[in-house]
Amino acid sequence: MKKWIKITLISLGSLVALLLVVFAVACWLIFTPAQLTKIVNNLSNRYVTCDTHFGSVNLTLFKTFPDAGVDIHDVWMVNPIQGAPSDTVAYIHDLVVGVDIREFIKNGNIVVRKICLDGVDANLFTSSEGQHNFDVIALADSSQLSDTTAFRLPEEVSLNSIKLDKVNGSYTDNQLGVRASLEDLEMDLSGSLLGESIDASLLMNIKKICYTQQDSVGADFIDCEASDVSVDVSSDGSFNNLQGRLQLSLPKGQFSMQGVAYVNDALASSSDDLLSIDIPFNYSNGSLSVDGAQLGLDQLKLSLTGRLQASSDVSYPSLLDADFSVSKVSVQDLLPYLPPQFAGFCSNMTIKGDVALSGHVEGGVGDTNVNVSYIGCDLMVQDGSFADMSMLPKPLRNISADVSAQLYLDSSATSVVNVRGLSATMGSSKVNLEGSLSDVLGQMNLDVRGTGSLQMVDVMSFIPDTMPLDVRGTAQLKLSAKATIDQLSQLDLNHIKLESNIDFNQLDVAYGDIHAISPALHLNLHTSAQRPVADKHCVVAAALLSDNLQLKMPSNQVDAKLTGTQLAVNLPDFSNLDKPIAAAFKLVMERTNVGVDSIGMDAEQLELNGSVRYDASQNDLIASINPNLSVTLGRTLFFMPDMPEALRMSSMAFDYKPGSCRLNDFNLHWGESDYHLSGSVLNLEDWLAHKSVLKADISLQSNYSDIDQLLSLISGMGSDPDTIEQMRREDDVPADAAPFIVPRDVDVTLHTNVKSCVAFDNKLSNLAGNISIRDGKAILDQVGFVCKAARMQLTGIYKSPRPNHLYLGVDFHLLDIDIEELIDMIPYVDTLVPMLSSFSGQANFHLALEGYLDAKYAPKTSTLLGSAAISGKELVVLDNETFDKISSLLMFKRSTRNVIDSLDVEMTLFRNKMEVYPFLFSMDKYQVCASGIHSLTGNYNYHVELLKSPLPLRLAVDVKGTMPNIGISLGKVVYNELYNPAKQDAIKQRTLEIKKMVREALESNVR
Amino acid sequence: MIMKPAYLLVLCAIAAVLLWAGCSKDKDKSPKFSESNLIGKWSSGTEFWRYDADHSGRTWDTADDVNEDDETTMRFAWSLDGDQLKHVFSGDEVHQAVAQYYTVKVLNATTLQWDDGLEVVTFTKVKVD
Repeated sequence: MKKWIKITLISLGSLVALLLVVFAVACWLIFTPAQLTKIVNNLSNRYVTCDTHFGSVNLTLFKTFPDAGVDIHDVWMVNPIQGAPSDTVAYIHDLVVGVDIREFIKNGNIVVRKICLDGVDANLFTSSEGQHNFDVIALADSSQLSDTTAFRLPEEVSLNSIKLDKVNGSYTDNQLGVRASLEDLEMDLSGSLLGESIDASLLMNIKKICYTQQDSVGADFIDCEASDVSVDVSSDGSFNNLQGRLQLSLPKGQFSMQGVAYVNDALASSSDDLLSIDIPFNYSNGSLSVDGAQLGLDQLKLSLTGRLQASSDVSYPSLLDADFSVSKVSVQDLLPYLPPQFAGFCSNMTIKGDVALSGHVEGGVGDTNVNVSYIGCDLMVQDGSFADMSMLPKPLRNISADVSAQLYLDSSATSVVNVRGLSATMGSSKVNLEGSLSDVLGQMNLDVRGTGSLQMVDVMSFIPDTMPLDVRGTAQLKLSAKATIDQLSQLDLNHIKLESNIDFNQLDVAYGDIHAISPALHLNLHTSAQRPVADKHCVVAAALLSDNLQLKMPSNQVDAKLTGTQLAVNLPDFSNLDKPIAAAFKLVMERTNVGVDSIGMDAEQLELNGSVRYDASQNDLIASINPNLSVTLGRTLFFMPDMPEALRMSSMAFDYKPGSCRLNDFNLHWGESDYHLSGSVLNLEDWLAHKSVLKADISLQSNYSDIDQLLSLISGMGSDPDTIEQMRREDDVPADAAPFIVPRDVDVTLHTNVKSCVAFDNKLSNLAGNISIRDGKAILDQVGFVCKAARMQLTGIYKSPRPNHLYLGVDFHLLDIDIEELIDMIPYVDTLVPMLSSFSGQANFHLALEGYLDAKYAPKTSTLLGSAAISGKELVVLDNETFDKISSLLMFKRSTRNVIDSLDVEMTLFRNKMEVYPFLFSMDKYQVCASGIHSLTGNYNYHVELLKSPLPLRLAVDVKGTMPNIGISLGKVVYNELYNPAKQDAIKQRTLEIKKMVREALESNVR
Repeated sequence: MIMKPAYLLVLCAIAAVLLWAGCSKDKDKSPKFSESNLIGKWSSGTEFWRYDADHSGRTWDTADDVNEDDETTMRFAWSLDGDQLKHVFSGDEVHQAVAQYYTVKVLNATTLQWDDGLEVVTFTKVKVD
C-alpha cells in the first residue's frame, strides 16, 4: 500500500472515531435515562391501552455491542379485569433491545437485532365473556389498516438473537376452561436468515409446564404437567436444502385425561426420560425427510424414517411416507406403566413376552389433520405367556405370533391381515392357527386354518366343577373356516364355511353315571357352505365314527360294546331353531347290557341304523324326534318284572318309522316256548299317547307255546295298572283270581301256526288260525287244533268288561274225540250232557255256547245260552243202574248187545236247563226214541220210548226226579210207530249264524 | 188145551188196551191268556223277566251281578199263543237263535206261573214307581 493512502485512511478513521465519540457524548447528554423514560412512557400511552409503567430506560452499548441498545427496567402493565387472578398483565424486570446503529444513522430506521428478556412474570387472562386482559394494544386508525399489500418475508431477517431468562407465566381462559402455567423458561434463539439461506438454533429449557382443561361441567378433562423440559432445534442451509435436528427431552411429567392417569408412579420413577424425541430432518425441494428419528416413551423406543413431500392436493398439500418400528420390548416391563384403571383390570393377569412392531405409513397431511391412506405393519410376539385364573383355568405358554397387516385406508386396494403363525400351549395341549383377514375395511373375510394337539384333561379344565363330566384322552384337531365377520357375528351358518376333524385317542368320558370308552374315535363337523349336508334342511353336519366304543351306565345296568359306530347329526341354522334337527346313525354293538326299571336286556349283537329328526314344534315325543330305525338284534336276553324267566331272543330285525313298525324277523324263546313273529305294527306312537288304536298284523309260528304264560304277559296290555287294580277292587275280584283282561285300544291279529301248546292245562297240537284282539275283544277265528288225538276247531269271542264279569262265546267243534277224554278235557260237558258219560267210544261234539264267567272262569248260569250236538257210531253203552232199569222196563233181552249203531243228538241250553230234542238210536234189534229236559243241578224229566223191538208191544219209560233219586217208570207211548223225529237242524243254523256273526265281528270295527 | 184159548184171550185184551192207550185224543182244551197282563216286569227271587209291548224283553239274575240296565242282560222276542209262551233268545256276540216254550198256568195282573217242562215257576209282578 502506498504511504499516502495509508496516511489518508488513518486520518479518516480517526475522524470517524472522533465523530462517534462526539455522537455518543451528545446522545448521552441529550438522551438521558430520565428523558428516555419520559419519552417511552409517553409513547406507551399512545400505543398501549392499559396502565403501563416503564421504570427506567437507558441507552447501552455494551450489552448490545456492536449495536446500540435500549435497556429497560421494571416494566409494568396493569389491566384489571374482574375474575382475573391478578391485575398485572405482565412485569418485565429487564428488557434489552439491540438496534442497528448504522441503519439508524444512515437511514434513520430502527432495526432491532437482539432482544433479551430477564425476569418476566405474565398473567394472561380471558374472561368467560371473551374479554382478554392482554388486549392492550391500541388499534391504529382505519386509514392505517387499509394497506392491503401482501405480506412478504424480508430478504434479511435482522433479528438474530432472542434470549429469555427467568420467564414465568400463567394463562387462564374461563371461556375454554383452560389453565396453563410456565415456570422458569430459558430460551436462546439465535441465527440468521439471509436470502435463501437460514442458520438457526433454538435452545429452550423449561423447569415446569402445567396445563389443565376442564369440560363443560367443570371436571378436569386434561391435566398434564412436565418438568425440566429441554428442546434443542437447529437448522442450517437454504430453503431448498435445509438440514436440521429436533431434540426434546421430557424427563418427568404427568398426564391424565378424563380422570385416567397415563403416567403412573412406576413410569414417573423410571430412570429413563419419560419422553424423548430426536428427529434429524432434511428439507429439500419441498420434501421433508427424517432418517432414524427416535421417539422414546420410557423404554419403548420408536424409530421413524420417512419423508413429507409436497403434493398438488389442495386439502392435503403434503404427502407422508414413513417407516416405523418399535424395538423388541418385554411386555412385562411395560405393564407396570399401565394406568391404574387398566392395571386393575389386569391385576390378576400374568403376562410375559417380547413384542416387536414395524410398519409403514402413507398419507396426506393437511393444515389441521392427517389423512392416512396406507398402514402396513408386522407384529411379532415371542416367548409369550398369559395367566389369569379368572379367564383361563391354566396358563397359556409359548405364545408366539407373526402377524402382518396391509391396510389401504383409501380403498385403493384390498386391505388384508395375514396371520402367518399364532400358537400357544396350555398344559400339555398346543394350538396353532394361521390364516388371513382380507378386505379388512370392507366385509372382512376371515380365512383361518388351525391344528391342535389337545389333552382332554386340559379341555376339561374349562368345564365347571359342578358339571359331573370327566373326559380323559387326547385329541388331534384340524380346523378350517372361511367367513365374513358379519357372518360370524350373526352366526350365519348358511354361509360360514367350516370343516373340522377331531381324532380322539384313548377317550374316556364319564358324565354322571354314563361312561364311554373308546381307543379311537373320529368326529367331523362341517357346514353346508363347505360341502353338502345330507339333509337339505340343515346347515351343519356332525359325524362320529368309531370301531370300538364301550358304553356303561351302572345304575341302569347298561354295558354296551359298539364295534361299529356311525353317528351323523344334522343341525339347522341356529337362527331358526324351529327347523328340525336331523341325526342319522349306524351303531353296531357287539355286546349290550341294559337294565332300566327292572327291565333288562343282554344282547350279543345289536345293529342300529336309522335317523331321527327333532322338530321342536311338535309336543309329542315320538313326533318331535321323528325316528326312522332299522334294528337287528342277535342273541338277546330280556328280563322283565313279573317274569320269572328271561325272554331269550335268537334274532330280531325290524324297521320302524313314525306310524309303522315292520317286524321282519323275531325269534323268541320264553321258558319252553318258542315264537317266530313277523308282520307289521301301526300307530304305535299314537297308541302310546292314547290317541289311537294300536294295529298289528303278525304271523306267529311256534313249535311249542305256553298259551297261559303268553296270556299272562299280554293281559291288560295298554291299560293303566292302577285302573285295572281299581276295577278289581270295585268288582270284588278275589285275590287269587287272575282273569285275563283283554287289552284295549289295540287291533291285533295273530296268524298262528303252533305245532304244540298248552292252554288251560290242556295239551294242544297243530294249532292254526287267526287270533285277533280288537278293542277289548279277543277273537279266535276258526282256530283248529288237535287235543287228545281229536281234531278240534274253535271259534270264539272273549271280552272282559269287568274283571268279575267276563264274556265268553264259543263255537267248539270236536271231531272223533273219545267221549271219556272229552269229559276229562272239558268236565263241564258232563254237567251239560250227563248222558254222555253213559257212552264209550268216538264221537263228534259241537258246542255253541255263550255266557258270562266270574273272575275264576266259573260260568254265571243265568247268562248261559247255547246249543250242542253229539253224534257217534258204534258207541258202547256202559253198564249202570239207570240203563239196567230202563232196559228191564223195555224188556230188552239179556243177550242184547249194548252197542248203539249211531247216535245223533241235538240240544239247547238256556240258563241251567238243557233241552234234548227227540233223537233215535238203535241197539241190537231195538230202536228207541228219547227226548227230555234236565237241569244242570241234576233234575231230570226224560221220556224214552221203544219204537221197534222183537216184541209186539209199544213200551215207554219216563225218567223223572232229582239225582240220585231218579224215578223210572212206564210211561205213555207218545210217538207213532216208526216215528222219525224231524231234524231240528238248529245246530247247523246256529253255527252258520255264529260264524256269520264272528266274521262280522272280525270285519267290523270294535263297538 | 183149555189154557191156550184163555192165554190168547188175555193177550188180545192187553193188545186192545195198548192199542187204545196208543190212540191220542187231539182235544184242544188249553186256556187262553191275555198278552196285556204279561207286559211289565216279573220277579221270582233274584230272577227277573221284563216283557215290553213291542214283544221284546229281557231277563237277568241279580245273583249273577247283572242288573236291568246292564248291557249284558239276555234279550229275547216273545209271543203268547193260548197258554204257550215262546221266547226266542239271541246271543250277545254269538248270535244264536234259541227258542224256549213255556206252558202258562196262571197269568193275571199280579201273578205269572208257567211250567217249563221241568218245574213250575211262579213270578210276581214288580210295581214300577
